[in-house]
Amino acid sequence: MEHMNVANPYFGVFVLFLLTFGAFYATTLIARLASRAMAAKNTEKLKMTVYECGPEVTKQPNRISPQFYLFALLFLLFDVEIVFMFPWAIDFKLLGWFGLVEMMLFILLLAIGFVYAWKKGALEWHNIK
Amino acid sequence: MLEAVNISMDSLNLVTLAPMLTVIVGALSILIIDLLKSNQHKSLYVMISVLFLLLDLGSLINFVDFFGTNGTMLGFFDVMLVDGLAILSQLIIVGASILFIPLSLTSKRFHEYNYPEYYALFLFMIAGFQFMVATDNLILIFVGLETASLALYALIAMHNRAKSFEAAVKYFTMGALAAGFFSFGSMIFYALTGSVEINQIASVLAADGYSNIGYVLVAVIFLLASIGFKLSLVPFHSWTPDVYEGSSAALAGYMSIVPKIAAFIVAMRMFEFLIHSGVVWLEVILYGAVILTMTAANIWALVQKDVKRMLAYSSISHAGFAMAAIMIGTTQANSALFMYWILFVFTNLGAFSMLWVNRQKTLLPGQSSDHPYEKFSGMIKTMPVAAVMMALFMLSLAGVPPFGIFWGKLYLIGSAVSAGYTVLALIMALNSAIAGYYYLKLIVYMFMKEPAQETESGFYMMNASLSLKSIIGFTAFATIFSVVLVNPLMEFITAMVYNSGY
Amino acid sequence: MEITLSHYLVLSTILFAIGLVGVMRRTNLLMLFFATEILLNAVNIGFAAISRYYGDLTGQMFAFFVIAIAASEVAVGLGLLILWFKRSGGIDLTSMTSMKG
Repeated sequence: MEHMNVANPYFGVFVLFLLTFGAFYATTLIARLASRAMAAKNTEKLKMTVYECGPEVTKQPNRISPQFYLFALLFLLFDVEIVFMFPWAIDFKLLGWFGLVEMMLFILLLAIGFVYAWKKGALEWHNIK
Repeated sequence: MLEAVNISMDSLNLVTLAPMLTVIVGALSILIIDLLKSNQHKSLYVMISVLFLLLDLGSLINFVDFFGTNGTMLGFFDVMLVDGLAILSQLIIVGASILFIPLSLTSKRFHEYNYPEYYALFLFMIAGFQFMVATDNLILIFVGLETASLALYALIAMHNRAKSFEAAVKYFTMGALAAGFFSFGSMIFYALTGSVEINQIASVLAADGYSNIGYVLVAVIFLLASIGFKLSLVPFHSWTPDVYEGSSAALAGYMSIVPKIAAFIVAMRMFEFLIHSGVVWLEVILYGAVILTMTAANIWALVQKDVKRMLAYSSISHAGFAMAAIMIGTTQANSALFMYWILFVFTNLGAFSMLWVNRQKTLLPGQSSDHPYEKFSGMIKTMPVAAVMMALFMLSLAGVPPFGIFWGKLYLIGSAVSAGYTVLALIMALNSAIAGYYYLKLIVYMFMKEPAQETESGFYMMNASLSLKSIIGFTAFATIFSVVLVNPLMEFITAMVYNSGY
Repeated sequence: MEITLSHYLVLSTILFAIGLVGVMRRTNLLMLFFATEILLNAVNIGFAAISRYYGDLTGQMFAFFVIAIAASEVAVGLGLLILWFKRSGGIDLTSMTSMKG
């Protein structure tokens, strides 16, 4: 391994860059620590809550429609099945009719699954209002 | 430019796929019927499932004839391998499934049986198990294993109680870990030998004289762990009682039989060459697992308060017994495994069906599980026939002559002695004696104790229907008259196993 | 320095170990699923590297199947997870204690 070439014209710039980088972080760190140490602390409960002009705030759980998961799962499954089509597409000429028939069978099976999901209403977005 | 490859239909030998394709077509047709006309009665789906399973059985019986004259069949670029082991185990799998499906025609209404998906998933699962046993390619074994397991998780969860979700999630996490172990173990074998076919792995490893024995051991431990999860061998058994308790009794009985025979075949193909390689460490690992499984599971079964959990531990112990046959590894022992498992199918399915018949919709007050021992106390006075049936299955599980499993134990211990494993044979005999205690405990409850208070409301046989009774009658018949079946069956099995070289 | 097969195998083993620790230690079910994905994908790296080393496509085929199986495993697992969440309002494994013995 060669020694590092200190004579490079841009080496000084690099060192400066590093120093600035360090100095920047050091300044912001010191500023943050100082302000935290000097700040008046008032962690009263009412002050920490969201402003709601009177009534106590209740936390609303973030509900995502279950339909979303169904969509995500179906997407995931059909997306990953594409994996088996890439090798076939690359060797399409090599595999010839045999490969074509095989792939058609594979797509047929996927299509049955797709029609099944469709008919069962998994692809309808009920909850949009 | 590359020439297009010419693949003739003869070289594919598509007939090797026929049994699996039959059930897959059956599953798809159930889904399509549901799409075209939904809300059919469940008996239609049961009929379709049984029909396709019978077709499957027919093609397998055809294979038996073919195997007798032509020997092992290869198909689909030599990925499919139809030898005696594959045919025998598929016969057990499909036969047990035909006995299982009518158990869904209960008189009480259960959530899962009204979904056509239940039957479709069930048939997909059978196809998965069939792929798993009819190949020695690790890729196809992995795919079959996962197809079957994923369908099984869904089947467990469909029972729709808090406990069954819990059971399904527990089984799922264990199964995911097992899948990781299996793929990692096969990766190590692939790195060592450059092949994922078991017979080629064996020949490459033998050719360089097991020079990388350390890596082989690591791979074996990973594969043993993953198969051990499926077989519930003892360090990997912790899910078994919970999952059996959470799923319906019928499905629990099925799970104690069919996934295990498939895993036994994989273990047999995998460990057969390793055991005969003469590496002592491999044998020590297997020996330890077998002894631990038999003994520890028996001791846990002694302290159970629920009959279903007791049967779960007893099925772990029986799996340990059968695993001993794989460790011994002679033709006699391998045949004894099949014998043992066929008899175990009848007895265990019968015992779990008896629990299923006595299942009520909701838990009784003061009862934390479905089938505590107290529920069966004094059963001889209220339901004499059911009590006698239950006692029959318990005696068979305990290995009392002349009932079913006694003959399996006899052949298994005999093969252990003739292969020179005297200590192992002694431990097996001792374990049978310990196991007798907890089976007899249930019989004592049924025959000696006074009936519980609630019997007037009639909670025995709540779930009974004609199809359930006839399945129980059939299994009881097979358990009692196994004496006459054993000899011809053993000749058939030995011929099949010997001709496929195990 | 040249990257050889053993580097890939070490990487694969380290990732597998990370996934294994995740499966053992995590009690949040979602995190546990992530850990199993790490397990399977660690194996994929190994298969791809070995396949390249031997100049043999079998390993890549295995990797394809592992990808497909991992996806279907996640699909089934998330389905179970949602069911369990609807029932119990949490996805913590430590809440699963209704069965003992």
